[in-house]
This record gives sequence, structure tokens and C-alpha cells, in this order.
Amino acid sequence: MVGNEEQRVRLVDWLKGWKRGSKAALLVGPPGTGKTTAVHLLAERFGLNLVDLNASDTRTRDALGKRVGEVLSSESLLAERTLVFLDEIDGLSGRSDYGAVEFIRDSIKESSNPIAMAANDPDSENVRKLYDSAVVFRFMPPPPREVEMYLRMVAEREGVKVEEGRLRDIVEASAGDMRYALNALQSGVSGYKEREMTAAEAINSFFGSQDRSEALRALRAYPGQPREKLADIFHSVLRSGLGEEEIVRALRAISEADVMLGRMVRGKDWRLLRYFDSMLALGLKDAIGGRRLRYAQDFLPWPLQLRVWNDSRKIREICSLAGRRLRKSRRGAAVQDFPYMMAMCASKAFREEMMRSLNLDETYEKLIAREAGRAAA
Amino acid sequence: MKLVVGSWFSLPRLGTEEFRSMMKAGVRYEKGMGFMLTPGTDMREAVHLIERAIGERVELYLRCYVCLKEACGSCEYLDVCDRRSVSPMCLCREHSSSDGSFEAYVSAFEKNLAE
Repeated sequence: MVGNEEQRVRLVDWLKGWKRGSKAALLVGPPGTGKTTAVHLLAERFGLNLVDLNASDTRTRDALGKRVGEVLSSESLLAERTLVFLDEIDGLSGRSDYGAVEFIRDSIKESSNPIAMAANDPDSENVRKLYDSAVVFRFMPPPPREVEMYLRMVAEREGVKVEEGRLRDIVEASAGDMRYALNALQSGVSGYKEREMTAAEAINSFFGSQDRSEALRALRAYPGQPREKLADIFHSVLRSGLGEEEIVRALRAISEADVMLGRMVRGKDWRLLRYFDSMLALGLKDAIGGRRLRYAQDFLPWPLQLRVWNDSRKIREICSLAGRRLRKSRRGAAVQDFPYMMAMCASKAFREEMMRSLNLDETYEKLIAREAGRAAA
Repeated sequence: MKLVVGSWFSLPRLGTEEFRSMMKAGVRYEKGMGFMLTPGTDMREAVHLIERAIGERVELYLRCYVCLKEACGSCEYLDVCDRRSVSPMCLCREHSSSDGSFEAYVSAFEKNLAE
């Protein structure tokens, strides 16, 4: 990596001098300045196990406690040390009743392992609350010449020839955001907005692309929202007539992109949008190989769509009722319990008992039997 | 006024508050030598304070991390680089575009780490 040399040396000194009760490290600075990379390299240099947690995915005290509580309080029998890294702590829930920031502050005092944290916004309320408990490392964007030198090195190692003018365009457009610069170098895009296409043109151009960079450009040229783009690709894949294995791989790639999109929307982390297209382009092109699919809209006949809609409404209702009985959210019940419940419904006695205890009427019977059969298969 | 990070410079006599603000921004001071902007200085704040103290615009120049020579004079990015907001060490033309530049940069970093 390049840039922030002084801060990186300080970071190494911080870890060398760290002992139980010492302050944590708090790296603050704009995206793409190397905060996360610096921590990863630090762990590698000192041979530490790295427990890496994106704090904006685990936003409350309880969730954080479950994920890292044990690591913070335990020491390895083999005398191995662990570096706990909480990334994007400015994404933690700011509400005091969630207590995530307080949990981190308490943990820093008692942890038997060093804790490093990173945040983009030095002025966010959460970050300011942690200043007293941490040594602060301010990361700045590396200057253009360092970015250029790094890109040139990467291109050389990858055996890619980049024109001087284009390299300079990328350096200037990146404004010190190394992540952007590397993505732009990889995709051949240098900060210019792509020509807008219609949805059909963009999707067809994506499926017909010869390489990943062309695929990425086509996805970026899609005129609608990411959710619409994903839906269009989903329908096109389903109507494509791909073989079973290919379709499973393709749907998995779409599903992973969908999960990422969901996280972005929930965490309002729009910066991740720039990776959404890359993830989709890479995953899907690998999944479908060289097959040339065509753009297609909703593929299901109306009666079937209606049945899917009805089924999903009923499944939501079952999960909601089960969640109430199990004292958890509908989503929790859907993810953790519903598949097992359906597997156990293969037994008629269990099925009847479950329907009775959840007060489900006979209109649910067919659906449960179908889901039970699917789970058993 | 041209200021190079890591070089001493002098300022007209400052008031207590101004001097205190300067120290708070991480500007180094030694009697007999004067002031110095270091890589640990909050450049934006320091330059703002200096500009106010001297009443003229400050041009900030960075040094090359490998050879420590002033790096900005011949830089092709001079017009687009906001030197108050970037990380405070840079590279000269020789150490940014010649063969083995990255290796020289990594060696310089390792040397700094060992000191």
C-alpha cells in the first residue's frame, strides 16, 4: 500500500507497545485511504489472527457481544494473539439503548486482545465517543504521484499496458481513493459516466459481453435502480433455458448480489454500490460461462404468479406466528426455524400439532404439505 | 510564501493564543530554529493559522518519501493536488516513475519502521 507512512509507523508502534488495558487504535479517514488494508497488513506482519467485523452489520450491544465477546475476553491456550478489527464503526447504531458504543468502550478496558477500529467520518457521534478510549490515526488520501506509482506497479505485475494519459485520468479522477483507482484500472473505466442505454440494451449488452470489463460497463449503463436491474437479470436468467447446474450457479450469484444490496439499503451504506455491479458482473459471468442470454421481463404466467404471492403471504404469516411463540422476530423464525419446522412436518402428527398450536386453518394444509415434501427432498 | 514539510521557517512574533493554536495543530517549534510542519501536523489548520499570521497565501510543498528532496516543484499534478488534504509525504519524479520505484518506496518504509 501507499500513503500515510507516518500513521502506519505509529500503528506498528502502537501494537508493539500494546498490553492489557491499553487504548485501542482508531483509524479515521475517507474511503479508500488504506485503513482496512493497514490493519490487515499489521496482523499479517505480527502473525496475529485477525477477527474482522464490519460493525455496521452488527449494530447493537447484544449482536456485538455475540460476535466478538468471547474473543475479547479469552486468551488462546496456544498463546496465539488475536487482533480484533471493528470496521466502519460510524455505522453503529447511535441510539444509546442499543449500547454498541458503550460495549466497545467497556471491552477496550478489559480486552485481553488488542482492538483496532476504523471509521470514515471523524465527526460522527459514535466516533467522538470513542476518542478517549483510543489512539487516533488520521488517514488521508495519498498524493497523486503515490497513487500513480502504485497503479503502475500493479499494471506491471499484472502484465497490463496502460497508456500514460489514461493512467493520469484515473489518478486525477480517484482523488486519492485507492479503491476507486484500482477498480478503474481493472475495469478500464477512468471516471467518465457511461452512455445510458435502455434496460433491454444494457442487459443484452451485459450478456453479450466478451470480457468482465465490458460486462461491468454494460451493467453501469443500466438506466434504472439496482433493485430493478437485479430483477431484470433474474427474469432473464429464469427464461433463458440454461441447464439446471448453470441456472443454480447463476441464481446463487444473483442471490449474493441481492444480499449485498439488502445490506446496503438497511445500513444506508451507499458507498458499497460501486461494488454491487462488480460483484454481479464477476459472479454471473462466471456462472453462465459463454452463454449469450437475452433480456426478458416477468416470466411467470399470471395464475402462477398469484400462487407464488399467496404462498409467500402464508409463509410470512406462519413465520410471524411461530416467531411470536418462540419470542423472536418473523425474520429470525423464517431464517432459523422455518426450514426445520417444514422438515419435521413430514410427520403427520407433528404437522397437525403445529397447525393446532399456531391456530392455522385448513387453507394452510396444502402449502405446508408441499413445503414439507420439498424440505424432505 | 512557500513552505516545505519538514523544513524550518520563521514567522513574525505570534500572540499567545495564536502560538497555542499552532502547537495544537501539531506544528513543531524550537527556539533558535523556528517552526516546522511535520507529517503529524494538521496541515489544513496549520496553513490556515500561518496565512492569518503572515497575511499572505501559503504554498505547501511536500517531500519525497524516498530521497527527502522537495517533490512538488516539477509535479505534473501540482494543479489538481490539494496538498493540505493529502497524506504529507509524496514522491519525486525519479522515485515515482522509474523502474523499481515501488521497491525503493517499500525499503524506505521498512527503514523508517526500523528506526
